Amino acid sequence: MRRPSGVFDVSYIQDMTVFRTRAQKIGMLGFIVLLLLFPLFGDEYWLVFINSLAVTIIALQGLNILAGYCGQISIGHSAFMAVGAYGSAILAAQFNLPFWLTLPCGGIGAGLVGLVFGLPSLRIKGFYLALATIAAQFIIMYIIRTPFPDITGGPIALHVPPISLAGFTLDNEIHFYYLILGMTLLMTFFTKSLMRSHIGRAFVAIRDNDIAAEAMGINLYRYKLLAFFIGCFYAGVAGSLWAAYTKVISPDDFTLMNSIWQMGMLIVGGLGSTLGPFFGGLLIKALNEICLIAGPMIDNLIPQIGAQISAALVEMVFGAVLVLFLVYLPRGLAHRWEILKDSYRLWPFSY
Amino acid sequence: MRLKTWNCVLVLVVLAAFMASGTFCFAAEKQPIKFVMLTDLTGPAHAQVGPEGWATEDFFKWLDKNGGIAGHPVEVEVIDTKYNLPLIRSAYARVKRMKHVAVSFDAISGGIEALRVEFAKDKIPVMMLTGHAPALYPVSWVMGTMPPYDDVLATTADWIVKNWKENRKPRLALFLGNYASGRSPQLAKWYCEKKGVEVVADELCPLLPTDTSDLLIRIQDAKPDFIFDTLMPDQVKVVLRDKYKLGIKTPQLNFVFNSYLITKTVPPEAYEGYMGYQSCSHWWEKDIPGVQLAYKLYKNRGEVPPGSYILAVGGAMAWAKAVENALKTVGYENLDGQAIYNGYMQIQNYTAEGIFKELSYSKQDVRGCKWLKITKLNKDGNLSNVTDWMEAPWNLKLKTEAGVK
Repeated sequence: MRRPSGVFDVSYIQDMTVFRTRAQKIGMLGFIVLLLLFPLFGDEYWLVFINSLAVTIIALQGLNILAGYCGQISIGHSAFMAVGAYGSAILAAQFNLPFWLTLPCGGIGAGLVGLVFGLPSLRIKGFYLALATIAAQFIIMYIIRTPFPDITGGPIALHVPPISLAGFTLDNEIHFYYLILGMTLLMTFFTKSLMRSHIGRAFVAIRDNDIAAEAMGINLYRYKLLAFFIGCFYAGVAGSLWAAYTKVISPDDFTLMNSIWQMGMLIVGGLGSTLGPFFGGLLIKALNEICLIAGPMIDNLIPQIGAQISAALVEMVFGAVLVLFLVYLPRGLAHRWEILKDSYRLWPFSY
Repeated sequence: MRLKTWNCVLVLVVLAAFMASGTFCFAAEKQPIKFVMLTDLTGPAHAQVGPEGWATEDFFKWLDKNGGIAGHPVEVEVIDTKYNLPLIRSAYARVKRMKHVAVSFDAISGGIEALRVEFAKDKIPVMMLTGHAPALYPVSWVMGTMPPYDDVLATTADWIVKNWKENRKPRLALFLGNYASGRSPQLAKWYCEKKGVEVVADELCPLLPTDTSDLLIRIQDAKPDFIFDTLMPDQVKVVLRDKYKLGIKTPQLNFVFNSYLITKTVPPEAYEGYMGYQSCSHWWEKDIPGVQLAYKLYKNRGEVPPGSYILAVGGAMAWAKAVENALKTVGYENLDGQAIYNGYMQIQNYTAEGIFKELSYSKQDVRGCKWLKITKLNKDGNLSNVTDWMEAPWNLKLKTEAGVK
């Protein structure tokens, strides 16, 4: 990362810092304070939007570790979210376990399931691995829907008991906002830390050239499975949070289309960057919300078109925007953000 | 001088626009009432629920041109939630901030079940055009317009038992559409077993299938006497084609039953004998005033309104009726969710100009219309009645009372 002019690193610790200058530290602190104070001035609609976005970002961080950093394409990530969601819901409903236990259990359960479905990654890669993860999507959802309907609710929805933390019941958007925000920041911190460790470097080496990585002494077997475990752990945590937040989960919340959209969000946001999930999730979710609002507005402006054609037009524009992003920003928004920051630092190009 | 002139012109233009927008009204005009419908205009369920959005839009625009409700203009907004639960949640969060608004939800995606508790907490009654059982029981602030899907399966069990002549138990296969409401007949399997109907197969049909031969073969292998399905139009056309191709002649009953669309998308030899449930009058009952109104509203879109369109016209009429009742009781300024809920409770034996047999709401029963009849498609594309109107048992209530989990 380019440093601002006049900032030099004289130690390894300085070189490795994420927020190197005082301005960066204050900026990040200010941003976090703003997030914490947001419920005081933001209304419920924005809280709902941010809660849903934040859960998606957690899942996307996991997918980023798996696909972005380690290069293992997964189009079954939504199913791993379902494992976490149903796992924690069942533990809460059937065994009355508290949320602070069901959340990590949901994550670990999803991680272990991810290990099983990550085994093909030792022999196949690319599109073939993507197909194997699609199989995971169908198999997991079949298991949730069919053999144990009394436990999972089957194809009907499963109701999740209200959650409480330290005797405090979370029952409105603001409560969940702080919980989900806290988890998002924590998981993002873990992701960044992981990628700055030897494990992260091993993942990147495998992504760039797995044969060369193996030649260098990186155990492919171990690190690929670790990537699946960690990626799916994140998905499980996201699923557990989603179950606790919505209080009703059904197989319709974790479909193949959701998995494909998650991959799409990551590609648009930028694979292999911690900021990628933020940008990609925000863009796609914001576009969806704009579609929700724009359709009726177009219908009001031009009543002759009708609501359905307005909705379809908006969908077409949505698709066109995505295509344009992929054409002009193939490396994602995160890469463009880095270029923007570097340009800002170099401007007015006095050197 | 020129800058001052331009400033004056700008101020005048802004003022004119502001006044023309209706925000600043000198005359004492009646304020509008807004009807907001959240439905899946696009997405995998659009073939079934899209027409409901059209009907809502057409009916309220027509109502606005014809005097509105108690002289108040009527505005309608149809929001496309694309079968996506996060979008449904955020759309609802946006809508509930609005004043003088009545809300309707499509139930196909099951989002209504997730938000049921929110409706009661926010005291916002929601009209549900399709029938998703978990949203209607325990009773809360969701108002149905037709029996939910599981009640229809229970009715099927009753009908089979009533007409069964053989010594053995009748065998029923479930071929359900893989969407939230479509899967909900699973809740009535206990009722079938209790009535002596053996459920021998249970298959889920994907939302947009290309081939359902494997599912049909598995059903056929179970040797059912009847098949009950909740397939939407995009599924029905594939299933009936595959069923005909495989030579399967098991009588099949559909709940969604978009019969006119079936005659347009499926060959006659494939749909001949296909039975379905009507919870309201359909396109072929043209002597009914409500159906005639639906034809009139639909004329810019096509020749014959689909069944879901007619149902939604009836539902919209009931919806408007609830708001009208609320206006009469509390007036415009106090029009809120509680008032509209009370307006619903005043609806008794309402037929929506003959569209429904009878629509009533009470604090103990919010299903609305509890009546169903079976009709059959003939090879010439016409329908004929198989049964008269039957009252649907309330499956979830009976299940709870029986202590079945």
